[in-house]
Amino acid sequence: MNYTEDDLAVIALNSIPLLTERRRWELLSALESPRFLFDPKKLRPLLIETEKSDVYNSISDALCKEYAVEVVTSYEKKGYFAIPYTSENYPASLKRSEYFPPVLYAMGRMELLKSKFFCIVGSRRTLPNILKVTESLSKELSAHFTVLTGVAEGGDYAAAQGALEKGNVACMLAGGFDTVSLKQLHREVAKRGLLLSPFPPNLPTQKFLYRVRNRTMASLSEGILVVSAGKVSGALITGEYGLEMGKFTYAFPYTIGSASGEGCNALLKKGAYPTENILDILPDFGINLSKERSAVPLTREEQLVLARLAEREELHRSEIARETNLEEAELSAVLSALEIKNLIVRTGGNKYRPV
Amino acid sequence: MLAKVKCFALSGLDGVAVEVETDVNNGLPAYELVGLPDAAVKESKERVRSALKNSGKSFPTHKITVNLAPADLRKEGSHFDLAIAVCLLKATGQLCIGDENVVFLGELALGGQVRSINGILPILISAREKGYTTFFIPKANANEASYLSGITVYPVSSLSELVDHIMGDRPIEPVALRTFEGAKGSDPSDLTYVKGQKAAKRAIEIAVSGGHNILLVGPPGTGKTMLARCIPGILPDLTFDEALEVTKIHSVAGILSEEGIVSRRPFRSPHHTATTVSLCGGGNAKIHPGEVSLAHNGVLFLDELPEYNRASLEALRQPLEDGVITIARSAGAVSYPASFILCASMNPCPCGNYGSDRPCKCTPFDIRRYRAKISGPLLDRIDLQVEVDSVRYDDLAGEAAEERSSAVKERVERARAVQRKRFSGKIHTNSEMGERELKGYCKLSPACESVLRIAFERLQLSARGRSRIIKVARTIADMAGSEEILVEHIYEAVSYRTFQEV
Repeated sequence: MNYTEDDLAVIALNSIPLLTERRRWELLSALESPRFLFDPKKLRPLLIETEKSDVYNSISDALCKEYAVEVVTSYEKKGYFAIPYTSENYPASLKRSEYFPPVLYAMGRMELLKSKFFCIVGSRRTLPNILKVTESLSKELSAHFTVLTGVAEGGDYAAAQGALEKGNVACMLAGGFDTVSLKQLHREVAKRGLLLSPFPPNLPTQKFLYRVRNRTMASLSEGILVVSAGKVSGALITGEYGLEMGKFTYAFPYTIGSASGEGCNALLKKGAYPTENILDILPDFGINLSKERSAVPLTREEQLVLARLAEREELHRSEIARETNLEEAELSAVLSALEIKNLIVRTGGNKYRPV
Repeated sequence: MLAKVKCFALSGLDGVAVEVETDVNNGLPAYELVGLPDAAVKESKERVRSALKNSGKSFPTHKITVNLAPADLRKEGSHFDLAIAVCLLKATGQLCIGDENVVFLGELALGGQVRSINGILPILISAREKGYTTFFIPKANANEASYLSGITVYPVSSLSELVDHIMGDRPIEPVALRTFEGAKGSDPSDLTYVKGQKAAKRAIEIAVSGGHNILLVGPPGTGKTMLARCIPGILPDLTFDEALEVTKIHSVAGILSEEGIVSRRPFRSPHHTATTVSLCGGGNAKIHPGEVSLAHNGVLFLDELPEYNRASLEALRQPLEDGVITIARSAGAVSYPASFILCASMNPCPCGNYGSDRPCKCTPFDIRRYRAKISGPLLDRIDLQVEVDSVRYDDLAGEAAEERSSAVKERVERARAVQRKRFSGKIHTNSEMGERELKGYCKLSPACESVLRIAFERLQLSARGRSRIIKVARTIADMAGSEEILVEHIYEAVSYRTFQEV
């Protein structure tokens, strides 16, 4: 990748660990152009009053072109790229937003940076049937967007899993590349999709970084879907940022008292669009899809059980047995058949939910 | 003067003929015992000396050499005492025995009484195969010998009684032959006391019918252990041959009851602090059978499976597959049969409440880490994985009639009869089928194949997982009285393998 002097200056500035992000933007906005960071005459008056001597020294050491080139080469050796906001590769949607990080770090297929992002987030504790729905919805959405999500277990994981097949998937870390240990799925994403981080590679994950990461995800995306969120949850925060920024924000509706869906319902009250499937999302982006679900052939007993489950949302197998008058052995077979056909899932304790 | 008498040593479950030779020479009084004796055999000298003296016989004041042949086989245990004593009497002319193929087994007390020993049954069976017909054994072990036909066994309670018999003064009645009747009385745990739990009961019935392994998963206090304890009550009765196999092992281990034969299928439940050696067998001088062998033809119940030492659990993999365990030590290798139904229980998550009405406090990571304590390969060998429900108060208090164990047992016996008829010979149950039997007896229709193919991909099964599903489906078909394996049998078999997914 080719870097202009401006690019190098921003990357070098971002790699100095002692500075806060606000301070970086202060320095950048005080100069007409980032490349003047390399000019001691222009830089010194900005620093001399405010900075302590050690900070001053490390800044003036780092802000030279040789150092910047060294940093960029070391990144490329490790397989990732730094994309400063001055670069043309920097995603336009991010740059348009109120807040954006000075440098975005990326690993994987760079061409995805130019694509449109759609953010799908969910909490760690997500019901098994919602995970299935998320996975298939993410798969369908990845035909039209790059699905953007986090790297947590549960909803995020299902979203990444679903979109991985087409490769239109991006996962954003809440820490620097060098400090986060990746799961197998995310190593795969780094190859076939895109792995992103708004933080310098040596910055370890900290609690408050999640909020920054969530805001960056919301800024980057055209739309946001929250598949599950508790009362206090990162997915809820992402959704709230989406609403604040005026993005298309969607959430799955949940029944009253469902612990893993309280955040989703809160978002719906604030104006997010209730969503059940991809047909609720795509028209907002001018994509019209006539979609018919291919019907899976079912036996009479299977239809009976499925109808009961659809009515009651979640049932214990003894309740299903009572309501359908099926023998124990027969019921096992029917439930197993429906499970294999991906129409119901087990939620633990011999309970079942429809997908 | 030289004298010879027969005795037997044990190597695993096989008896090896040992010739006791005694030579009494003139010279300084001495007693030399050769032929790789262990400590217990060496100490026999003192027991024999006192026993002879206290039975009114004399211990020769000569130079005595006792040899246990073959000389390169390690001799363990105290059961050589009687043979050595008899041989000494013979060598000194105090006793006259014409037949050299009479076998003497027993430990001596200082007063001349004959004490019981371990491993009588395997010795008698091996000796019978080798053509020996006359035995003198401790009276306390008489019951153990009473089920073997074609041999004459004299129970002796003391050395003087033995001498009297041989001299023809007071003949001993040989052990009367008894016929095997099976277990008497019913088992204390009965399925009728377990409320609800239809799915788990069904799975247990399948497991017992086909000899499959089963894992019960459920919140604490829901009756997993109680269910497991009901298994002996629905196990089919032991046949005589099976009973002999089990008794041999229990006899070697020295845990045989007064009855002399194991008439009930064993139900072994070692605590989770069990070591690998106690589970699988081992030991230094003598290689003892472990819990897996003691549970042969019965059930090995491992309560709270994740609490067991990981290495111990992994050691179960091979016996689970082969039904036999070979324990190798520097002194030699011994094979013990270890064909058992593994029944294990565990909680679904660290706090125990996952899937129950009470709230679960565990994160998915916690749950995965907890379940990862059971390795994939071990889980792969457990054909039936069922969830046990937390029981509602109403169900407990309710008077709904539950099926009795005896009714379930009848069905199990029927299913087993179908299997016995089909295999007619080497193997007894569907779980023991090899690839060849699988091909021959488990033909799958195209519909079944396609279901299995989907399940294979969905559940990411191994080749073993696939064949185990077919075996379970075969059992389910047998229970339903169906000649062919139908699609619903496959579906039900698959439904018992979904625990791996979280």
